[in-house]
Amino acid sequence: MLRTVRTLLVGLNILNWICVAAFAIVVALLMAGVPAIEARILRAFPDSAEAVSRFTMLAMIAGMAVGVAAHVVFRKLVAIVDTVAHGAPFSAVNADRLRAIAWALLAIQLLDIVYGVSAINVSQATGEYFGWNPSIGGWLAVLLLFVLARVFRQGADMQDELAATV
Amino acid sequence: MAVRVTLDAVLHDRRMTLTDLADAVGITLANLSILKTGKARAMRFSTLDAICRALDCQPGDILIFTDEPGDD
Repeated sequence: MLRTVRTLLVGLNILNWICVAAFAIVVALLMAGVPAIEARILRAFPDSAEAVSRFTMLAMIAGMAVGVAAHVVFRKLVAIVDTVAHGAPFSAVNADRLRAIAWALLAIQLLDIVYGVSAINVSQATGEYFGWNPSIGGWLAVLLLFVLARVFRQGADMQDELAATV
Repeated sequence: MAVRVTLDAVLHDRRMTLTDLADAVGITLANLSILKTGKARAMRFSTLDAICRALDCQPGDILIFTDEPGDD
């Protein structure tokens, strides 16, 4: 079970970096001003091609930043799973890891808002709906993880206390 | 810490080794060693009970309080 979870997390992180690479290619193509792409955007949005182009660029850059934060989440989760496999999950290190995951998720949530504002703006400019919904679950997960990190720290202290009890 | 473990002295009086005590009370030698060297932070009543039975002594014989300057 743990090995499956670990493999899944490592696999997801690889997919994450493939997405980041794809976003980087799109950004590079947009910055280079490839005529074929510009013409396609102009055909689809004749009145607001520049706004769409800018939105796409921003969305890709935000996506790359999310990829970096997601990398932190996956790496730290893999490390936590490894400590569970070794039978010592309640440690100060894991409390720090959980807090790092909470910060990374907070960064993802903030980037999501940046994306959302841009999506609303470009939707208004083009008259087409560029989908976005605020993620309430994501914000709750951030809160939950910060609390869980504190719980882990207390658990680690109790574990140390227990280890020194004869 | 101001509470000190004098297990060594009691063991010496009883002509027992830490290994003998470990066998008698069913506590690992490693844990008893932690206790003897004063590295333990807490002690279970069950451990105290077992040691007092094995050494035929009172808790006060193996634990003493010394309010010395510099103690935690």
